[in-house]
Amino acid sequence: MRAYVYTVRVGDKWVCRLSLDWRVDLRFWYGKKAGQAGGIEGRNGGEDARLGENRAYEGRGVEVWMTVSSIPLGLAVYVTEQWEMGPLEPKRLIRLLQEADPQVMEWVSQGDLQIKQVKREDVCRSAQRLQEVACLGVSDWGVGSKSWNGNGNGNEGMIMEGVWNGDLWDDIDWGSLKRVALRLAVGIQGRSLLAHELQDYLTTHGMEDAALYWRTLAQLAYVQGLVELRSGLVVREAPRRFPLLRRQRELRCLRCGSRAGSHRRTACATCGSPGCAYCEACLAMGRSRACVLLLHGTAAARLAAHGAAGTVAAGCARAAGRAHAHATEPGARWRLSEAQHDASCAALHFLQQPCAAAGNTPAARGGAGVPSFLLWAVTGAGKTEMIFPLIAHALERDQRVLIATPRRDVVLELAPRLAQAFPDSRLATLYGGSSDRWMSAEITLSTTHQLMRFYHMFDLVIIDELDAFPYHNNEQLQYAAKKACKPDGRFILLSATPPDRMQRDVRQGRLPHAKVPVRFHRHPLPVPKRLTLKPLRLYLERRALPIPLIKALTTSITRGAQVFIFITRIKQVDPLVDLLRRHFPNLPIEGTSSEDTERAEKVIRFRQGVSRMLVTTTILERGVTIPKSDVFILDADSALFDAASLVQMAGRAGRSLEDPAGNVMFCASSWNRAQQHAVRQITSMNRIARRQGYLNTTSQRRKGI
Amino acid sequence: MKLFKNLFRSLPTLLAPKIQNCLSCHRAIHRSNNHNAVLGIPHTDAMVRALRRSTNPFHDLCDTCLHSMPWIRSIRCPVCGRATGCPDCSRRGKDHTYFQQNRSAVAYSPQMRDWLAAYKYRGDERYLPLLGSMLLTAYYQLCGEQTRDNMPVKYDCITYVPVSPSRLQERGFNQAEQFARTLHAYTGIPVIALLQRNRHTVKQSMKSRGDRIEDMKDVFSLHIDSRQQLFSKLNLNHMTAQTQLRPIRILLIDDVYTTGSTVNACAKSLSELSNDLNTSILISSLTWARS
Repeated sequence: MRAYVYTVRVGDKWVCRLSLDWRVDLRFWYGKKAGQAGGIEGRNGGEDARLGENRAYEGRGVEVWMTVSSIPLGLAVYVTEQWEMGPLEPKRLIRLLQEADPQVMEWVSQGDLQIKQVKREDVCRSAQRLQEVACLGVSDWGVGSKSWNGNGNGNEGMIMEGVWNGDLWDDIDWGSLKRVALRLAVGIQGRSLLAHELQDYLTTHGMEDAALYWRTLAQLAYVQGLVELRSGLVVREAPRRFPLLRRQRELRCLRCGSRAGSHRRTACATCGSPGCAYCEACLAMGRSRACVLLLHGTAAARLAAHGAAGTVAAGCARAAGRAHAHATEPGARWRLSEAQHDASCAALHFLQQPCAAAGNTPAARGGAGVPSFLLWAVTGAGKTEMIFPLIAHALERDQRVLIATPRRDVVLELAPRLAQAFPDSRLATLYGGSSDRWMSAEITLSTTHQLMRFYHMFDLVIIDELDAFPYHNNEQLQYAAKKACKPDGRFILLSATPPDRMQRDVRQGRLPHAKVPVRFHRHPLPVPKRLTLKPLRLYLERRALPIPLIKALTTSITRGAQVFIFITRIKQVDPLVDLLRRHFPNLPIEGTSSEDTERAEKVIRFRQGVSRMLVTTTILERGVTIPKSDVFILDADSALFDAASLVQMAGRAGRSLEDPAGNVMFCASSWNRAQQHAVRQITSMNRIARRQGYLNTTSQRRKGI
Repeated sequence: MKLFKNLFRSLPTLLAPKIQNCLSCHRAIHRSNNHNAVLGIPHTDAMVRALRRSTNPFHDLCDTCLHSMPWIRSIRCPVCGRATGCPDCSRRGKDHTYFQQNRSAVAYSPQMRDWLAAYKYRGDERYLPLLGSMLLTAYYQLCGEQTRDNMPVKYDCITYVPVSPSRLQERGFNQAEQFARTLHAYTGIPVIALLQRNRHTVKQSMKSRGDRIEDMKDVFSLHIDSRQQLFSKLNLNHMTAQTQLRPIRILLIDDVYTTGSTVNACAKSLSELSNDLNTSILISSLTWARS
């Protein structure tokens, strides 16, 4: 996509803007002043007043300097971001373009970069003619209207699709267009959408005909300050590689935050560039490209600042009234245990702090620049219940809440529980292919990827199972979460096994946190026991299992528990299942892995208790809850198991009140750091729990800590 | 300080081999050193030579994916290159078929459909080298079949099925053109844009067979300067219009051949060139997949 760039003088101030449809801009800057137009627009006074300052800009343009032909959107965005002051002039324009793309002059002709001054008199005299010209998509500003040497054929490079065909100088049409643009801007408030997603929004919201002139509408919303127009990939300064050297510029994906390493440059017929970059990291969400339009809905900031402040104030007053009713006693309303209640209160206290106090150290800003709070709760502590008071707190203040989880099945599991807890609030459940895509809701439950479609939307962002996000996604998640959160918003991070870096920040007191060291049933976590065995590979070759393992398994079976057996390699699953079936001929035993197509059914059968023993890889290390279960981890000294996954797997045992003390076995030939670390984490949590008096007195007497 | 930290962090990976993941299934590729690059691909010596000239795009796939490709190895219908019997070609009749034959590299299996969708609709242009070079198998098959005096036939130029300007705007590329340019890179045959699309047609995949054929009428026409382009690029200028030229062979490229209506409509427009050039035009079509 390509856009025009222009600067306009308002009073003694110069403003640089880009344009998808420059007729809109001319009408806006040179049209009637706001308030002068009577009649139709007068009726619409309420809305106009809310638009405040930008609305007042209308009709106040003195002179406009515009490029004679359109330039690729990525470059246009860079120019508008970097233009300091003064009218547009070719020399400075070319310098900026070369900053963004050093090779730009090899594929752009100088003639295309000429600037034309458009005076108020010109426009008013020939409004009709201007509009005819624009429909053809050719600028007649004197200089040759050849498009850039795009795809070989001159006239194919520049096509104006999606512009409005009527006369913009007609006051009635102009007024109705403005209403549609406002409706659009309010609808996509807080979202970050690519051009095709915008068209999708228009068609699914009863504005099918508006989708045909979406460029005109987007431009009209932009010029009034209701949306931001960006390109998918933008030029940014790269972090300095060596001290003292000049900073390089690099492309970043504005949607997922990826850097040059995950971009690919290809020839592009849409903007005419021989090397237009696109982002491979978020390709599955629709292609983000250097020349594709990315809209950020920023209407709320605009509307809240002018006039609409009244409703916000009312909301706060109402919230204050309600807050006294509930927030003081979260435990009572949500039936939290003592430990859960204490952690919840600490988090609530964090939310109530003013922004400056909440995060004045970089770590407290979670590395993402947003004040963060870590809820470090052991496996099976009931994390979901703990966030309910926080959600309620935000809802009482008319704030929007986002809960981000790593996986789609977690979203589907969490949705009914949230809907039940907050029956009066709308809940949008977002995952790939979800139908709630456009729903405007107080609570949003989303997978990581869907987060990318938001921009400054949420006041409270809760990130569930922080460490379960795949490693390479981490940076993407951080970027997307920060983007979705309002500048003055807060993060709540939930984890049973925070990453090392975060644990260090906690120890050094740089990250505010609360620990929930005990499960909801007030019994200590089962501490893993050691069982020294040779590597599983040897037993499989010998086709016989070691007697200590058989004995331990028999003990678990006879006490009526279901058994998880975690192993490291997918190809060992089937041989081990065969071997186990030989040893326990009458027992239903199954094995599954990420390559298994019947995985879901097998997990359901295990949950229902139909199968008694399940051999699996780390894929089931979290999420599956079995009331009475024992856990065996074979080859626990493997490099594939780190301390976090060992803690998670050990956390599958002893989840229910009926059987609070399951058995966990680390079967390995050596006792390595990861195992020591995992055991140390579990025992230290148990120690904290005992010290704070969270444990049942009966279980305290029982040893195991 | 940060510099040393970064250096230190990258030390363990400094000597580690680079792991490449399969383009299609994203699993790590494990390959022995004496791996045969064209294992499982129907190939000729000429094709192996062509592939050797640059990095082999088939290396982007793991062995499992490489072996599961539905190559068309034996041809049942000599016209459309289908591996099974073909009612379409007999129904259309010889008089209304404007092209000589079509050859496709692979059958349009669900996996191939996914690949094309990833490339064409999702815009994952990493697939281009692979899909483009798959055309080579069909190309060399076609060359092998058509021999004159025991010499393989030479094609004068490559052209492609155009897309409408607005589709080009939306997608950023024309897949058939990209395939044609890849083929040009391997074989050196010039690519000339001879055709243009006059009308925006609804996406082909949404229509029935009858609709497609009806829909294709007058969609394509010759590009305004196609004659000049053909003359200049093929050096036909020195021949006067009176002398009988040798027949000109054109290769027409498209992504998927379903009923042949697109290819036939294009071939019909291309055959109009013969009046101006005072020679016969022989059109062969080369498509990536045959459904």
